[in-house]
Amino acid sequence: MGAAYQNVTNQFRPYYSNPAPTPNKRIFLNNTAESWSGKERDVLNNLAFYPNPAQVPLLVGMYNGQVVVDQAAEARAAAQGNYFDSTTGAYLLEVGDVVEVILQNQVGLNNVVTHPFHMHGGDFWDMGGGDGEFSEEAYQELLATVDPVKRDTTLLSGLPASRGTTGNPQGFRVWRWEATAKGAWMLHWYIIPFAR
Amino acid sequence: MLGLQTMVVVGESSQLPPLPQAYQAAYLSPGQAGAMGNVNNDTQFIPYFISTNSTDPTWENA
Repeated sequence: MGAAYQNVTNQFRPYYSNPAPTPNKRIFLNNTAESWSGKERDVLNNLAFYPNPAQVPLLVGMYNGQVVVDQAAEARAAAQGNYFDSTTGAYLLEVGDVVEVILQNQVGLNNVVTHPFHMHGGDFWDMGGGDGEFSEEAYQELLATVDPVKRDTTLLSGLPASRGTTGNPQGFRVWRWEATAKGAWMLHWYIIPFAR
Repeated sequence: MLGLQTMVVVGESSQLPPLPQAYQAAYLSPGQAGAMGNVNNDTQFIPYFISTNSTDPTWENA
């Protein structure tokens, strides 16, 4: 499914010309599955989302003052190198940023899965995807062929199908997302069938 | 939608648009606000996430 999907979607063309803006930030999201104390954990950048009911929701916290996102928080996020602030529990972007999100699929628990990923807070330019590991060379080859369309969900390839060991790269996808809507937004895999 | 999920904040707290009046009671009441929590003795606690450093990474439904 991954190869056929990419062969088709990389050839999508916008009905109206709408070139992707030049990014000023880049976020890498490495996706895999691991066994933590015998329980499967699906993780992005070594973190598994866990909505502990004891924690105030992020947006609620920002409104009531329990979560403070300010210049100090943005400085912490920038210092971590991937714009993630561990104190806030979120990637922090400034209004007007154009962020290049690089989704890298990896073998997890000896399994290779193609995943849909969805972004809230505005559509992104789908810059396309490829098999195996993201590299600047592979991305430049992709950029030479795509005329990106705006979407809100794309698949992340699970190819090549040779599995190898957990952590082996298995497909990548690149988005460009313009941060125009102030607020807190989710980026997540799967859609309604996986809600529980 | 658990596990492979993360969150993005655009702008600062002070830049959020005004909360519509209909939402204010729910968003700002003590019950909804709750405590931020620290998941007890996690040494590297990160809100909304667990990691291999979490006290108990085997929590159900996480």
